[in-house]
Amino acid sequence: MKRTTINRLTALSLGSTLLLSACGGEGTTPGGAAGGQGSTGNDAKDKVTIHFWDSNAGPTTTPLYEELIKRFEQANPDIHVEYLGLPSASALQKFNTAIQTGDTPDVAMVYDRWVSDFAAKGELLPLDPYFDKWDQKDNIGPIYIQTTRDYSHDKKLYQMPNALVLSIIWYRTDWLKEAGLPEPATWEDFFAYTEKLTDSAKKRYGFSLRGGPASITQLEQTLWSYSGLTSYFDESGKSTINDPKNVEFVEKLAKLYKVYTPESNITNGFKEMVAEFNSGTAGMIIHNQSSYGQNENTLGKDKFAGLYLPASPFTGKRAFVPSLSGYSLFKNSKHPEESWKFIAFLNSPESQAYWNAKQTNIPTNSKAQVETPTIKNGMAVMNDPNTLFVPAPTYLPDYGQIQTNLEPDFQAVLAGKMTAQQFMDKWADLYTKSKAKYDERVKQAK
Amino acid sequence: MATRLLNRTLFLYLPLWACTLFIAFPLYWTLITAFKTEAEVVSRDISYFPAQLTVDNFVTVWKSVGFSVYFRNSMLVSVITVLICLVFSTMVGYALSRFRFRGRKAFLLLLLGTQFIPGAMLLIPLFMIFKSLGLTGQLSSLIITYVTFNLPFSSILMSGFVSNIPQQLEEAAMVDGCSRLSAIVHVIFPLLVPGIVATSVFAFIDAWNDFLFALMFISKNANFTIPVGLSYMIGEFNIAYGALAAGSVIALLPTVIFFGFIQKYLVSGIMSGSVKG
Repeated sequence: MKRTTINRLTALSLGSTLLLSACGGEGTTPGGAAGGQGSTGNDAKDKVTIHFWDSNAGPTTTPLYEELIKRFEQANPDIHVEYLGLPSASALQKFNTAIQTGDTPDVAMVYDRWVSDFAAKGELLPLDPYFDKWDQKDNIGPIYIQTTRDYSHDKKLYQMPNALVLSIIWYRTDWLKEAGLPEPATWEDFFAYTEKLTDSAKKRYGFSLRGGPASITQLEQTLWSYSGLTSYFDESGKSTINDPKNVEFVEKLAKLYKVYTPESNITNGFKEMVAEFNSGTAGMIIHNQSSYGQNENTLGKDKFAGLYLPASPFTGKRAFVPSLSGYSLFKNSKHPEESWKFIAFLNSPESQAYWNAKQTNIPTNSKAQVETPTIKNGMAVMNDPNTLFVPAPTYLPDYGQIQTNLEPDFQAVLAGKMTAQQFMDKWADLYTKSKAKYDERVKQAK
Repeated sequence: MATRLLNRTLFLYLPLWACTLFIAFPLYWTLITAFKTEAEVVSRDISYFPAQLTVDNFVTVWKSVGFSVYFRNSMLVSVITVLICLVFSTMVGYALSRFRFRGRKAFLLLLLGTQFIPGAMLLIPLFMIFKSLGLTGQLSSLIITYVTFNLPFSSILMSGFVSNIPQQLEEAAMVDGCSRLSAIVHVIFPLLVPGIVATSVFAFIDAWNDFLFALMFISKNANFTIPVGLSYMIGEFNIAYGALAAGSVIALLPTVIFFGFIQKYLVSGIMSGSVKG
């Protein structure tokens, strides 16, 4: 009796499981479409839903997008934007999973360093046809469009950049006043001030170095500014990293360690570096203008100011490695027209002004008005004909890996166990080899 | 007398106190950081007690980051996972322990074998399965995943606990007229409580702390769980330390309360294997 009941129950549950799985079938069921990715079908009101993924969500950025989405939906009542915030550290992982499973969104906030990868995988829709017909086309700085085109293998526009982050030297204005020094304007000033602002009696250091995580990325961004070189590679494909002017800069920087910087700097990441500036341990740091908000919160507006990387003492030009973020359209989108409308809206002067003011980034739309002095300075720097970009070779597949692998070597240079020349030669060699492999693959693909 | 006290102090109390401080201090630090203002968190002077107490971090994290939603989701997913896990692992554990059937050893080996597979490897295949079931973005996909990953280990645990209960007890009950099922319910279950508690602890912690699946399977902000919510505090260019600490305290609270209630069962559960008359 017991056995029969159990047998019957087993048969019933097995049978019903098989039956249900047969009902599931391929693709999405009606119940699943609501939860699935990509655009859902139109409902009775003919409202289109587009999915937007934010790659740097958090308490500061999410409310900004909520406001912008509200404005967009008011102006376009037939479009609904579904916002998904991704935590910054794991956003790329989510995109990679989405690409592999075919579950990409319509629009996403994409960093310039991801563009070459996503475009090469064929995941993005070229924006050229939409851009050419856009009324704001001439207001977006040509340098931004050209840089973004250069990131992709076929020079098409795969991202609409809306925010620029540049390297900046933050310095304590109150310390300078105490020492009776004028505001710095050149690299010579910078190196002189690291010494002048160090005061061991007051436990003050002139500078805080980034010797730990992402030290190479930041070092790279400052090299070209000092040496004035305009490209990562020369015509023969050899890396210019170990040019004597670059080596000179690294030597000068390494000499500052432990003398005018705290000893702990050898393991500093950006948190520690910015914290040292905020806590009054260091008088200057080299970072980018997005840490403006944190500085303002901890020090207050009148205690600090920023100098965008000064002109090269060799060429007189200001060179930056740009960090552009913007929006991309994914190929799988079922509503490219509406998605472009959203991208265009986010790049209008009002939206760019709103976003970049709150985030302290430099807007790419010249008609965007931002009142913060640091941003106004940034826009002026970008309008200066002496300013140029040295875009990083993010198209190299192992670009990020090379940088991570070199971090211990930079620490060895700081500790005096390796010379700057040896370090730079090794670095240049890795880039040269990587570029040669990449060029080989591109030739084969053709 | 004095030597005994010295011995106890040196070899018992001192090491214990050192261990306690070592374990408790990070928790204490998190707690006070949650109540500090952001400026005080990054200031150079280390303060072991907030100079200015504030609950702003908690308010920020609960309202604008959305922890009220994430907390509810995490609770829902974890509790349902534990319940389903308990029911099925008890049955599997009982069968593994009491019945002798062909392939029992192989089945046990298979259960152990599943523990060697890293969850991240199954991410894409699981996602494809959920996509064809139409479950992507729903919390049920998370529940199914957590139950699947916890069942083997819980079953092995339960079979160990059931083995500790002498078979004579059920046999005596069945001789007195109980069916097997009512013997289990009336005799085994009360004795199994420590084992059930121990198993549910593992399942709860696993479901509560999981980050990878919660991030990858859910595509609606309203369905995210606490670990994802915590990672929002670490932005690309800045870290909201106060808010992060406040979020961590909220994430720790249910686990700590849960442990507070069940710890006596946990200890007796661990000891229950040692002496039986």
